[in-house]
Amino acid sequence: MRGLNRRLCAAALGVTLTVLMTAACGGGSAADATSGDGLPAEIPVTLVADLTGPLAFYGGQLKAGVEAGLDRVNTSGVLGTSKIKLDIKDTGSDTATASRLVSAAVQSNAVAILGPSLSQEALATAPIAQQAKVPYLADTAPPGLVEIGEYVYSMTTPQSSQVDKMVQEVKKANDSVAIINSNDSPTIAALAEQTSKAFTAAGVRVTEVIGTSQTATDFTAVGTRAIQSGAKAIGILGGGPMMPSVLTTLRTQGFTGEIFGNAGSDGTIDKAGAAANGYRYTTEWAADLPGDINADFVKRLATVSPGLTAHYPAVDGYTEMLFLAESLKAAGSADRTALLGGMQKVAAAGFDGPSGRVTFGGAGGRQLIGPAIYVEFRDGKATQVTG
Amino acid sequence: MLQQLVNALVLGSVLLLFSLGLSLAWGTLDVLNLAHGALFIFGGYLGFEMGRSTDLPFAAVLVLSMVGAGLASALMEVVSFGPIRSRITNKRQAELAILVASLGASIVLGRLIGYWTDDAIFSPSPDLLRVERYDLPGFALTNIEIIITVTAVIVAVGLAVWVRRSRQGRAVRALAYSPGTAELMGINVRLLAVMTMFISGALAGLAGLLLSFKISGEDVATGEAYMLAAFAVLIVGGVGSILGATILAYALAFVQTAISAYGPGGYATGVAFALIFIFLLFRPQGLFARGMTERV
Repeated sequence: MRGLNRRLCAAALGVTLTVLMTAACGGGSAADATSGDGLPAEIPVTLVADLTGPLAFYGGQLKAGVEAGLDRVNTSGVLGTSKIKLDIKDTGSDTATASRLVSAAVQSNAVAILGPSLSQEALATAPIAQQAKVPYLADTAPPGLVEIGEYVYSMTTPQSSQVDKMVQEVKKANDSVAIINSNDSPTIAALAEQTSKAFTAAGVRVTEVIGTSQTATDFTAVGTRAIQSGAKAIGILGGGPMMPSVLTTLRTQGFTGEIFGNAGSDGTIDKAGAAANGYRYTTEWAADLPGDINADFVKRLATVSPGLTAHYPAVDGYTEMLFLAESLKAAGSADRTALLGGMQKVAAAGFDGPSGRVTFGGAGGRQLIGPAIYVEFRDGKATQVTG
Repeated sequence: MLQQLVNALVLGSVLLLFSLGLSLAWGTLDVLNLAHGALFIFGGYLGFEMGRSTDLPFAAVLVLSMVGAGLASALMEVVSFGPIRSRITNKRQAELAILVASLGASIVLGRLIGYWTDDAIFSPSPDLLRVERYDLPGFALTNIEIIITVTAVIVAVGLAVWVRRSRQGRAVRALAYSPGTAELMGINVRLLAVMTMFISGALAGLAGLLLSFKISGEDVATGEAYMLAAFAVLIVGGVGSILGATILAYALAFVQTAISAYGPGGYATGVAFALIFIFLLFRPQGLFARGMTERV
């Protein structure tokens, strides 16, 4: 027993030393990345993304957007003669791999880490970056993420901030709605509750809020239930294959009213084919938005990823790069602590992204909040609903 | 009410189509093929790929998707399940090894489909089959729903007749009863096993393709939800019993539809499985399992 205790103590000591060394090495390597005052010729940044596996769609979009942003930053001279050097790592859509890659990144000379798209991966890896004091930009916004610490920023607009826009647009032509939502996702369940309350507060009657599972084998019954509730419009809140399936079900059952949804529609709803024509949803970006930055994003994305149709993770990736470059410029240094100061300055002031003015809120002002855009999908394209 | 009954009937038909192939492999060869869900999605994927790259008519795509999924299933038997069965003489150990091998096959096939589709959702070309709706008194249904329901009934009856009346069907029953005796009677057990796995896979492919037209969006994970439902159908219905599978597929569909239509929709699967759990406490052998001689 005493021997076992000794071994346990030794193991605990070993783990503690490893953690301390990891933190110490991380801090040291950040200093190595700089060359005294000003920015070094090369600024190493690590992108940890889900490039293969079930989340490859999001990781691929994020990578394409980051590369488009990198192209802009490195060719525009925003950092003088300095250039960002991107090191891309694939999580394989696996949380344990993501943790290992972020642990390795904090020990490298990377000045910042661009984190993965999956909430669980971000929640698992952000504490590693926070402990090592490495700026960490996540492409997801789960509750509690930015509360992890001052080095952790969320760079995607939370869907909860788009509800008011959705209600405002749906209310224009409808006085009653039914909502079908996936309640096996806490984020979507909370979004459904918020949406229902917002419609009621706006004077729109909510006939039904129907929970279903995102992985259900059939959505016909919930579709019939929503239609039979007599609602003039039906909302779909969720993501993945559920979105085109519910939409197709509603249309094939003869529902001709407005069907609307959340940002989970982006990149999924086109699979419904002709049934998707006229479908409307809130998102953070549309290709036809005005402005030079959006035009630049569209052009550069087409250059670095020919043939790729942009969705919101690509916009997030491009925005992350703009934010990082502005923060490095504000810091005037590639030191991790100095960069944090630069990030705080840029976040406080806001900046212009492809969708328009980007601001920050949430804990410590580290949650990105972009403009909410309402789009209509038709013939394979989503265009902004105006008027 | 009538519409929800029709919804349940169609859902039951999908579950039945999916479960029959699994039942055949499990009931005759003792192969609980965890790759059945991946074969199901493979059928849908083949339809998607042929729909966008060829001008083949729907019927041809349907047959080729079935053949493709059947061949993939037969390949699993030739490369893995068969050799395991011949090398491990202990029946229980062999079943366990095959179970693990089928899990591996499921992962490999799933990853391949994920690679080919960039892990995105895929749906068949609408040019392959125009989904049309028919309004009838009190309810509406689509042409694909009619095709699914009629196909499920034809396949279930056809499989039952084939197993009971045909020469090959009797050989399959002999194989299920005693592989050793079947071999002594001159039955080519290896070939029969490959043929059985081919049919099992083809049925998975058939279900996967037809479903892809109904739901307009499948991904690699879609098959997993159906696997869970199929386990319930087969275990409660009685492993190897086509009648049991048929009754349970429709019963499960009616329970799930009722909960989705009138109760807490998100818990439809959970409530249905809780009922199954309670049922198994009283009849663990399943509804129609009456002994080894009637396993097929």
